[in-house]
Amino acid sequence: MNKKQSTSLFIRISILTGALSALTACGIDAPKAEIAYAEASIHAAQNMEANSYAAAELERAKNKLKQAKSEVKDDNNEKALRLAKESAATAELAQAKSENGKAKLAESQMQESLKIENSHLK
Amino acid sequence: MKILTIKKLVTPVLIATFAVGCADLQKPQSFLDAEKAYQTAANDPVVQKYSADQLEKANKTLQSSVTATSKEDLKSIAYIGSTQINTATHMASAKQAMQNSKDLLVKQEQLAAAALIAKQDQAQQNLLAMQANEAEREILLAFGQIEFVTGTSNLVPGAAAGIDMLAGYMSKFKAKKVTIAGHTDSSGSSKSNKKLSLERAESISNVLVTKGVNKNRITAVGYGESQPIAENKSSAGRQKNRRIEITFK
Repeated sequence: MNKKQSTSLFIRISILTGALSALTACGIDAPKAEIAYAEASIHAAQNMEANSYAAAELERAKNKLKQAKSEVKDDNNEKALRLAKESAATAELAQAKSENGKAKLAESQMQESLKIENSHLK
Repeated sequence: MKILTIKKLVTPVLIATFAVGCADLQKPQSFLDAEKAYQTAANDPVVQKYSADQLEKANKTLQSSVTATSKEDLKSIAYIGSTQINTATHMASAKQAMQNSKDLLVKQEQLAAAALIAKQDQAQQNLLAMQANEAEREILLAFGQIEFVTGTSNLVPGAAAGIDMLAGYMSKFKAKKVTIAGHTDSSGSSKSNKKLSLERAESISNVLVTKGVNKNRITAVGYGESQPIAENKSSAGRQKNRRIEITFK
């Protein structure tokens, strides 16, 4: 191997290593755990009647989960990870919004009942 | 020497390639909005009280932006962060509403308890009033039979029953006051009749005092022959006019 060949090989190896490094940096595994967590959060939100109290948020969480799954199929795992995390956060918002809606309804019913009781006492 | 030159060139290029990925990214508007929303929520006393943990979660999400390598990452962090802040606000509001409901329930229970006590008090007062009325009727009936030895303020034997009843009544119904009014028939002078009627009322009053009734609750008056309820011509009429009238207040 003469000097010229050696130099050419070094350049090739360097380029290949660089490309591989770049690929490894971007390449992550499919975010299975995050997708499972988002699914569970959506399920919990549905159990809390998010269909009635936070329909828009629930729908958004479902869409993001759907997109995440689709990105996994296309091997866009980083995008899938972002979408799965966003889906879970949105589902948690749907849960909180549902809880808030129910708590406020209960409070207003309580106030109404107290008003009636007060008027009976007068 | 040539190899070294190329090596010197390639290495910085590789370093630069990685460095671009970690370069300081410009924060998108959505991220700035999320930071602003965080400040607002952090200053909300309800959020501070009820959902500090959730707000901290949002804070950590926003802080994770330092490791972001792309604009997409930053946008995603901004979305998740602002969603978590929104969640914290809803959680706080829900917990506040639950606390309000609990407070209202306590208030309702207190009202119900007060209403029950008021009802029981009313029922007890009604019962007492009924008992008082009943006792007053019996006393009046007993005093209708009361007799004195003619011309004196001495009670005939057996007249004490009515006075005992009156003493019992006064002891049970502490708020009540009694007026004992003596009346005579028209036999004798009106002056002596007035004196006699007063003496008879006072003699009953004295017996009540010896039985423990406070003198301030008793008024003794003598009307003499001035207020007849029957004619004085017949002995039956005169008997009716010689009487002790009791009134309660």
